[in-house]
Amino acid sequence: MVYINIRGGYMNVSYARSFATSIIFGILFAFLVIFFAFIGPEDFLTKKIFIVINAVVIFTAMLSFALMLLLTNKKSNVIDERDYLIQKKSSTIGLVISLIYVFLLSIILFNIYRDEGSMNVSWAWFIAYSTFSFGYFITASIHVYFYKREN
Amino acid sequence: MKNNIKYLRARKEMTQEELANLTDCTRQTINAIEKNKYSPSLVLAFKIAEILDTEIAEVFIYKS
Repeated sequence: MVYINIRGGYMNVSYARSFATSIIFGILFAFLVIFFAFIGPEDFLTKKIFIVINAVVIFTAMLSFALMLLLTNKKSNVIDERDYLIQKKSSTIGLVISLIYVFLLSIILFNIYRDEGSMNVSWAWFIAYSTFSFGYFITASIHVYFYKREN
Repeated sequence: MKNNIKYLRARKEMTQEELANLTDCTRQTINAIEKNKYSPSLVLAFKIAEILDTEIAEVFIYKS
């Protein structure tokens, strides 16, 4: 069995993976939000460097995630019934929260751009990538919360 | 559902990790069960009773 000692506590592999996932995608989501807020949707597509920067950051996050999964993938890993139960609960709640996020974001944009009749296409890019990173982040965070609650 | 796992485990001089290994679950699950934070499935409950060499009714105490 793989136990990872963090701050004096012990995590099993499922807990550790969720912890790492929440950090990786939390940072990615925060970067996307801050970067998009700083640059703005109008200027986002005007310079290719902005898209390249985002592509590099997203690629780095995905690579980190893949490496983390690879490094923690050992034959001795045990994922038991409690882990599956927590995964099921966190996935369900994470899905609902992600749907609420997309709904709220879409409705807010609709209300902002309703009078203009059209919306900058950059927002579509932002909705896509932020939803993807937010979904992973929130599901992993809920997963960590359920584990912490029982410890 | 309360249980006597900690006492029965100590009687057999067994650690949580040893019990977890023998019952194919994680040490954290055994810990959660002992702290009454998780109710195991029937299969796991029977496995624990079998490893601790006792009847399941002596391991887990159900009060309605």
